[in-house]
Amino acid sequence: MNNIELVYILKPDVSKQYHNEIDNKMEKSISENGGKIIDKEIWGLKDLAYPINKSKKGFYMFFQLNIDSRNLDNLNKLLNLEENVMRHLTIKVDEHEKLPSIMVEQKK
Amino acid sequence: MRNNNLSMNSRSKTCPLSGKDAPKIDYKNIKLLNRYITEKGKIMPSRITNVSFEKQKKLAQAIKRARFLSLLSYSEKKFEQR
Repeated sequence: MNNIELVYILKPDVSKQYHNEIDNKMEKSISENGGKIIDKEIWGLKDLAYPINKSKKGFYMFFQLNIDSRNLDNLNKLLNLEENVMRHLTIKVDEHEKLPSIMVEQKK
Repeated sequence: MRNNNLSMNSRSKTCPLSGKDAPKIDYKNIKLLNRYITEKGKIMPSRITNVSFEKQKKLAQAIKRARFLSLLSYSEKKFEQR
């Protein structure tokens, strides 16, 4: 088991319904691969530093996972296939930091 | 000759990212990363910033991650980015 941080950026104009949908999909996929979500954070709609696919904003989501890194490929595949996910990044960390993260604190 | 001496002095400063109270290098901490990129968005060399070899590697990695997630621009420095 490894500690994994996951960030993905959704297109700014997707519906709330889709947010729930992808949430469920993610949870399902993670539990199928023998992992679990420790915590999650919504960074929300943010300005991008440069346009991606012609959109200037993106909806950021942040997850702290506990999952075997060998099973991470399945999760990446799922996110790759989603049309509304512009970018996603998974990284391995030694220890999960305490939330709220800097991203949310700076917003206030 | 005087100038030479000055640069020698500044070189002997210690690494700002090592030590007890040093901030943790993280791709989420954009305020910190902003300090170590140039106007054109390049990563600053450690000989100017006095960052240790170990930390410079981590810093570069963090900057690259932030760029990928569009938190930092590849080509310019953006001020007052929230």
